[in-house]
Amino acid sequence: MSQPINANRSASPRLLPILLLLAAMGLLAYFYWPKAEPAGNTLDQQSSMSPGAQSGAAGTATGQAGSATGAYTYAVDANGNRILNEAGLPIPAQPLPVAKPIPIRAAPSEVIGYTVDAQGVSRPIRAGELKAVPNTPGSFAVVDMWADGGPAVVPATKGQALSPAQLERLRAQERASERDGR
Amino acid sequence: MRRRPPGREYDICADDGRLPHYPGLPDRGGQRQLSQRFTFRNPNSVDLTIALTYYPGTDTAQTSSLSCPSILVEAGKDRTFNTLREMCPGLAAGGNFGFLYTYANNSTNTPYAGFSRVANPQGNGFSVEAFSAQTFTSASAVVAGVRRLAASGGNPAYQTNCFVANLNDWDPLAVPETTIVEVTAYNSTGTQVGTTASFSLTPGKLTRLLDVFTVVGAPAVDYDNARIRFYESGTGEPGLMTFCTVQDNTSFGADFRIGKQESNSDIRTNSDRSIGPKDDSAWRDSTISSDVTMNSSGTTPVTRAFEVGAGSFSSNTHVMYFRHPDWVQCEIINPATSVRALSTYGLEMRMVASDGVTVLTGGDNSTGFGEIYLGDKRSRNNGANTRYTIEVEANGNADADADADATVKPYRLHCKSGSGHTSGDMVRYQDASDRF
Repeated sequence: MSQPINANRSASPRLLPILLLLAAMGLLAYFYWPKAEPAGNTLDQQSSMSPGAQSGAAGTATGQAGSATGAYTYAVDANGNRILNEAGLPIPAQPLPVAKPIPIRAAPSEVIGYTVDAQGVSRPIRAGELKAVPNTPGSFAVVDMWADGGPAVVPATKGQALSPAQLERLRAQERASERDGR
Repeated sequence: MRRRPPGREYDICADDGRLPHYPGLPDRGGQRQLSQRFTFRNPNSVDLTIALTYYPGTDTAQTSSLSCPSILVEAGKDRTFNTLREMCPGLAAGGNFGFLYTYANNSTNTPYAGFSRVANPQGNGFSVEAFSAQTFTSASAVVAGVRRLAASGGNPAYQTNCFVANLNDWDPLAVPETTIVEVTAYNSTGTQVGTTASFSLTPGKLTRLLDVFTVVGAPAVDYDNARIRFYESGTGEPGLMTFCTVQDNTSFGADFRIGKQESNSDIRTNSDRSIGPKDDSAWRDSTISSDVTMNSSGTTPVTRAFEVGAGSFSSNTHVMYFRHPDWVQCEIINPATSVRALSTYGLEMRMVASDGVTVLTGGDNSTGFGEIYLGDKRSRNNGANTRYTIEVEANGNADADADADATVKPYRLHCKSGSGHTSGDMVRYQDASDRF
């Protein structure tokens, strides 16, 4: 039995004005609905729509992998702006949080790193001088991640510096030993 | 002679940390330290017994090597240990790092694989594959792309630590042979920074170079995309394990970079810059003028020079294993000039595929060929690396230049490859034939 192909769609023209009206109401609700205020916690872990939608900035965050709800989780500052990028590193131009003191395992006055001033002049950092490292700008403190009890600032390994004459002598011995070995 | 257990040995850097709660530090679930998870894979149809010995780094809690209980990995199964201490209960309390020496302690050869993952309690860390012990040689090694940066703006501070270990001897000498390892740092433009520093290592020892830039006395400035070179000087020609970790001092994340063996001096090739590890089965640039033959008792090898006999009918066939896909090139060197032989020298060469028939390159009056592509993986020998033959023979120019064919013609075979090749031993020597 044949019948017109669009026989069941004959009501569509009547529904169109209703759909347009609903869409217009949705847009109005979106722009006039009160927005949630960002949290005041400096390092709060938030779940929300997106950085741009929340702070008004032109954020282009992508969805979190594996998130069933499509929510985002990221660290924000007091103004609701992200302070860590997707890799978990601080976003450039954002100041680093002050590091907690790290215990220093070194003899008193032992050099445990260097610091560089604004003029590029470096000076040694001695045990006891550091109160907050290692993310203090300009410092080259040495951190032992394997230290017993957790990361600690320690002196760097000390090598035996070789003079050019010593180097030449060692390499001559090396060449001689390989020649004998063949 | 001590019997060497069958199976393959692997070395992996290892660590283990206690997991204490450290007063005064941020509470991270009571765990601030790195720990390392190990997985062993037994692909065999028989159970695998792995013997383990832990060699600690200098100045760590464990002061001497530690034999750990053997572990059993069932046929076809994997087995994972969450910490080194789980495998080695006798490990000294405290922070440890070093390397783990393992071998299959079965009556038949049972190869296996190993993998490990180092992570802090937040999951930041790095992976370390197991390496077969033969991997490590005394060739100079390089770790590239390392950095030391002070914190600035929003970027954390970075630090590079390097490690140098001397592979333990299975059959130790009465007096262990000490190796000296030189460490040199270069900045991103290739200029050396600081001075060359040295360390002494006996077999089974591992030394950590905490902040390698300070180790070499480099000025206290930022270094990015820098390079660290390790050079062995001594008489032992040991297996050196060299690697670096680049850590960021904010999140305490780190990565792992094995030292790439890139050059070794080799007397046989008269070269101070033979690329790659010390491995006669994986030359990258070889110039070889002889192989060996065995006498009837098979005990006294006799050096056999690469020579084509006098006359127009004399041919040598070298067997050469390449690893495709790769680009390779070979040439005949005239020993008198040390450069590629001219056709007037009286020799010619060609390279033949593993079927023994297909000529890949070379031919009449050819004394060398530029780089040729061996083919994609799928396109040759069911994807398996295989042998090729290089035929060198008199070029039959006796009529044009009688002198050229009247004498024995020595030569050197010079080959280059990207992925390594063998030494080109001869399977036919001065065969009385003219093959092409």
